[in-house]
Amino acid sequence: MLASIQRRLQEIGISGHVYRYGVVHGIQIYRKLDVEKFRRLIPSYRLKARVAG
Amino acid sequence: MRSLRRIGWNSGEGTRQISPVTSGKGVPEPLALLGVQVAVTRGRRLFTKQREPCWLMVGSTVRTSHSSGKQQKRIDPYLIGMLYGDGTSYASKRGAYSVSVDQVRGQLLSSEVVPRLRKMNFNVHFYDYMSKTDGSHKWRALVFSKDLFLWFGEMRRNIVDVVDGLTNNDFKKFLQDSSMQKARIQIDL
Repeated sequence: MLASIQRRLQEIGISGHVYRYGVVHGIQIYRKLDVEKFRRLIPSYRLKARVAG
Repeated sequence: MRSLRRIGWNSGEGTRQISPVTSGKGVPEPLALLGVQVAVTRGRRLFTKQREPCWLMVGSTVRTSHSSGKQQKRIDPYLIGMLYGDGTSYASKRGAYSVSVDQVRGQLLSSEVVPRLRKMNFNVHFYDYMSKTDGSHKWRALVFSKDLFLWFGEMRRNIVDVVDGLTNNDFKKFLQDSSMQKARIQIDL
């Protein structure tokens, strides 16, 4: 699932990395340009609710 | 003395299930999806009913009417992400099939989820309640629909295929507000 999302994100020009923290797996976008692009392409209520400003 | 039911005087005209899963339409849908022959009693008659093979698509469509049998409606990719992340389904013993989304804040449900579900002609019950598990106040959007229930199960089992089948625009809607994007992105900002 995460690998599929990672592949789809790469198709729209966002690089993400799948990580593992114990039993939890996730996908991480840590480059600022990619995060900004993510927020621009995918306007999310959840991100707006959590990110200050 | 034999009872009326045993000698068949009052057998009724309704369809009786031979499976514990009741659909009200004669054949349990999970069995129908497998394309098997299912014996059904109607009154005193016993016959077999050949159902169509699985046409309920795993992707982004859901059947919207039991009676018409062919009518399909496209599920909003936003709802796929939302239901996969936060959706729950429940089938009661009395034959009620429900799919619901719970949120602590009701704004997202009222502004995004409920209108999209109503646009698909689902009767949406939107209410707040106190959770017995954690004692918190929550909002819930609930839909009683067997078609949505079945689609929800198929979607959860084949989520990778569903994601792979989405177009780029649909994939953006799928990720939008889905529970897969959470606090990690906030920390990394």
